[in-house]
Amino acid sequence: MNPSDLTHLDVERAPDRCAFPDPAPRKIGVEEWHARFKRVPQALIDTYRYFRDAGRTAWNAYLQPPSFFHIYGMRVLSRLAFDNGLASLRLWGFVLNEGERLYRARQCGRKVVALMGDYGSLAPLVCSFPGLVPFYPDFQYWTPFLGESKVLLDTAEEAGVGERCCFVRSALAAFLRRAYFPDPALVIASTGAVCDDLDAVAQRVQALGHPFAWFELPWRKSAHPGYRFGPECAGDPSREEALLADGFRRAAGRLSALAGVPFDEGRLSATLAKVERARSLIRRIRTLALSVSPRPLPALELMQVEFAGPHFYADLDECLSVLEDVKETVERRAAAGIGFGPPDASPVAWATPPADPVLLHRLEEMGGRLAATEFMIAQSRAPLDLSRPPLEALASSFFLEASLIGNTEQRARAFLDEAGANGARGAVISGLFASSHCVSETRILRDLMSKRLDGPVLAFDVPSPGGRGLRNPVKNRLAAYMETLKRRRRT
Amino acid sequence: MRDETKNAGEATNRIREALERREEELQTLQGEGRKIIATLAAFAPPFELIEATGGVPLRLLEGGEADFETRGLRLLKNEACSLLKGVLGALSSGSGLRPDAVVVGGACDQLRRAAEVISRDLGLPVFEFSVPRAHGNQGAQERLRHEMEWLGRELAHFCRGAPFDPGALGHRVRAWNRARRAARRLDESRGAGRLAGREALALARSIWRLGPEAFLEAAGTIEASLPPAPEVSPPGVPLLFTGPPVLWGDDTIADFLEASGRGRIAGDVLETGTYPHLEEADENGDPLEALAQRANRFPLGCGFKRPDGAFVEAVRQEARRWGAKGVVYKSLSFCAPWNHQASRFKKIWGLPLLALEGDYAAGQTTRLKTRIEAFLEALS
Amino acid sequence: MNAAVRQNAREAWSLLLIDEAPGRVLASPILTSRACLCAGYAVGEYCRDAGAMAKSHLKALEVFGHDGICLFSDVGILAEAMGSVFHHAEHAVPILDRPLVGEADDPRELRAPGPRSGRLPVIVGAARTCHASAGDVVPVFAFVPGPFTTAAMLAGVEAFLTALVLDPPRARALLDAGARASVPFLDALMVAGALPVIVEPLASASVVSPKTFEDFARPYILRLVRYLHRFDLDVVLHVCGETGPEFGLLPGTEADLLSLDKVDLAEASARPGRRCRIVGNLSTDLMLRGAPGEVGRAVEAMIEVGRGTPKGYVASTGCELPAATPDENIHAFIEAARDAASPPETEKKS
Repeated sequence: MNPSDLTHLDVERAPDRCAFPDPAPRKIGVEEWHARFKRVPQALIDTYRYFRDAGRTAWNAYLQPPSFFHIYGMRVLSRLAFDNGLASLRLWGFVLNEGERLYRARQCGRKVVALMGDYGSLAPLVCSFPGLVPFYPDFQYWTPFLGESKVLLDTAEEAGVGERCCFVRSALAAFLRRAYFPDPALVIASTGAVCDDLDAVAQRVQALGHPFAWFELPWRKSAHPGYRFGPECAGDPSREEALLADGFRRAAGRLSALAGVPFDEGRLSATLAKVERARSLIRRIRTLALSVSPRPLPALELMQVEFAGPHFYADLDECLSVLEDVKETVERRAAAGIGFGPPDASPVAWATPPADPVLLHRLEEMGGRLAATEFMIAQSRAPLDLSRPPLEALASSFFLEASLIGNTEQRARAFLDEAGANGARGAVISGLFASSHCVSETRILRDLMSKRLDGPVLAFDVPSPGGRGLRNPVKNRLAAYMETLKRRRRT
Repeated sequence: MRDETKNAGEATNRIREALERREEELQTLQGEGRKIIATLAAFAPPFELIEATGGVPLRLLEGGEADFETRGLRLLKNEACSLLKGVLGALSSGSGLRPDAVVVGGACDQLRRAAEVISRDLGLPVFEFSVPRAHGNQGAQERLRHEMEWLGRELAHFCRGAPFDPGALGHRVRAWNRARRAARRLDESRGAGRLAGREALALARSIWRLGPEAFLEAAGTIEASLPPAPEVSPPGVPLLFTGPPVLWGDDTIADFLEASGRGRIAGDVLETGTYPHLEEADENGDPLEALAQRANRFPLGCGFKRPDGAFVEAVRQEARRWGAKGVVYKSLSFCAPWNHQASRFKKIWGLPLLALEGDYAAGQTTRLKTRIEAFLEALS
Repeated sequence: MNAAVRQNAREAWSLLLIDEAPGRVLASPILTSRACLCAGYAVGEYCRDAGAMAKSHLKALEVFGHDGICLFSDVGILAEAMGSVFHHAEHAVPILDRPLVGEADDPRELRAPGPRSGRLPVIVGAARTCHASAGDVVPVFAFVPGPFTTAAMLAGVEAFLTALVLDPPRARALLDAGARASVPFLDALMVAGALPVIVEPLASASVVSPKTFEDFARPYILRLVRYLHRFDLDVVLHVCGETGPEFGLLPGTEADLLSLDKVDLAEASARPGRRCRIVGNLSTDLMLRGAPGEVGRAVEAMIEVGRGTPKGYVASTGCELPAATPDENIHAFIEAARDAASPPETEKKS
């Protein structure tokens, strides 16, 4: 199927969209978006819905202003600023609504499948089964920062997983508190080439008693001098891809039992066509947002777009529509030469997704912009070769591109190419205290970045939430770093 | 004075002498052109495999020494596990034997990533050995076998410039099985009160440096000098010792546990203890298949497999076997696979559990001793 | 499956509001100006000062551990911001002294007060502070006088009630002014992080007939509810007094939660409770005068009835706690609710 033939996924030309044109791009806060939202035509609010096959229900509209989410506990929003365009508002509403969406999925007869650790290879498989909805409890890693709250971290500590585990411990706490997502019908957790903290949390989750399966992620080895890889040798990509494809088949067996329908490669192929469309949209939006000046999309919105890759925020079809909308907006802005921030904003490459969204916001406030990102999910935007059998296409795409299954140099390669191409003058590594990959990776990344970019590298661990505002040391360091970049630009 | 205490002194000396002799022997072997192949895990890959390729395996268990940890911190963040800091610190220090290559088994993410640091920063050739963690999965054993075949070929080429000889592997499997039988006898001796627990642990760990032949010799000498089993149960609350590998610098803990006579290490489920030797590799049939089967099926004293039910059950069984009244769970700082399961294991095993995280900072010894004494006091 | 950890108020409310069964019964007595005693403030200061109001509620939360912060001073706050004169005393809530709209005044000329008018900033400021301090674990509710009540505060209660009968157009003009007056205040509260609660004490059947409610109160309440629904908020409508005769009409306000007072809870559960979540309704008289044991038993019995509400239930009081309510009784309320078993599954929206 040619992805461009997906006419049924064309952006709905909501009748009143013209009545709410985008103003000149500017970042606005909660209060201003609240006021602006009053002018959004009701017809538009009624148009944007998730789980469209459920019809127009009382609950599936998701166009909500940031003030809505702020009232319901996402306190950090009052310290952020947002793209004032409609597509981004739609994106934010769709993203932040996901928690409720998972409960509604269960309420309307779907089954929710929790995936842990693979970030993008299993979700398409889940989506290919009717009535199954994927999500990643791991992404509760953001919840303490969104709420500026220690609730989840405290719960994890009481369960014996304290601050010597990275923020992914919030996922365990979320399972225990049973208020962030419904009890999943099945958990498929990855082990093997995954972060130790995530693996440990997944083992704790298994012990809670949910229906559970393990999925092995292969190690993408490095080509050390003296290695000889060849067909059928351990470490050879085709062998590992075959093993991954086998793993997918086993997972498909579990999903088939859950969905009550047999696994069907044709259905998976159709799903992969949509997934590839989503990935190509993400790639296109990223390319423009990272390379065009002034930037046509702010950093936080770009991160939201990137994180659509792993599981499409639990609604693939609607996610596609949202991404189409964002892409159209970004292309329009790029063509018109309009965007955010000063044209001489300092381009910065950023490695590891910052758990605290305030960091990206501060970067832009302090005169920076993103020129490259490596958010540990490169596999979720990697092209899928749709000419191959679907399981092989998934396996191959994952094995070649997954951010964390190989070594740091592999992870950094494409990222540094992108940073170089987009003129990055420096780099930031927002690490996580106690995260297993950060332990050895940080120094290596810093070395690679310094050499390749010929610019300063700032590395820090994101401080825990719970206080108001970024802890001062990190804030001060970021400010000093941005000042350094500006001075270097001037000289 | 307890007989085994008097004997413990002799056993300790014998182990120390054997290890010193082995250090010299390794230097000699390297001088003669033999390749010293260092590893960070006991079963990834199996030592039999390395020996069959002509290499001399060297288990890296450096840790517990502040100097090595400090050096390791130059290469890693502070939250690296103690084993990693110690090993990389030792390798970078230039002291002791420098291996010719390192095999990095991917039992956990921190160790897996050590491959890049060792290659990049220490300039050592590295062979990455992928260990399936989801052992219940179909295909895991076959995968492990293929991984061993590959490594066998690569190491044989590296060590001797020759193809891998499966016959040599069969020979090494039998040698290790003999050593395992000796290790099991030590296990029984410990349980019967003939040998101090801390000595049994130290001797069991030494196999990873001595190799099976030298270990057999040392174990045989020690065994021959052991007193008969006491008529009454040996004093001290019987304890089961478990956790990640016990490093060379970790012996303080075992010493504290037994020094006062109020506790004794009756059994272990440790990768560096006697536990891995409870099961032998099948000497009949294909040795590669036998090793793959053993590594895939048997817990081997480590909780890294997913799910970890086999490890959990192993501890339960050994605790029952030795009548353990408490579990000493000695982990490494920042060891995620072990530390984040401790509270859960405690509930499952239903025994008093002393969770220790090795820290090695100056001044921690007193605190450690106090905690151990309080635990023993509570048990007795 | 492992036993779940006790959910905090924010978590339990979030489940209730998306038609999921929370892990426990929510205990949210209407603790408004009574909170000032927890922090040692006089009522007058509480009503006048945002910092005093916020500290009172945060201290009360610490003391009682209830499941919702209820910011409220008096029903005249909007009318006062528009120009009605209220008498302020040190140890009482403000009461209407001189209504703004005389017989000769045209209510259509009234302008909505900005959110910085009168004492509106007190509530807004308190909302902001409470949300910043405790909004991660507990929702912040801000009680806003509804159009019917505000109209009465603009014209004087008697004059307004008379107009309902003798001069309906004038009454509607007052109601329209009351509705319009709310909007900037509601906006400011929402931006501050509070969930507005529309409070309409004068619209109960204790004061007006069901027909008057239907003709005059409901349409303007509905306007505000729909305004809030635009932002997708869950709207609480609090009508104290008797509302049993209005049961057939209350769902027509489209409010998502009905906070009720002198009603038969079983009937409320069975009738409006099919469409709206029910909040309430322990007698404030009992809270004031009863013994803690009595309060506890009454709460248990109340929850036993209320938990059968198809759309969901929150244990609360019928109206705001009187200033003299003993601490022990509030503790008894919370503890009895805490000990109650988890609520059953609510009806799912489909």
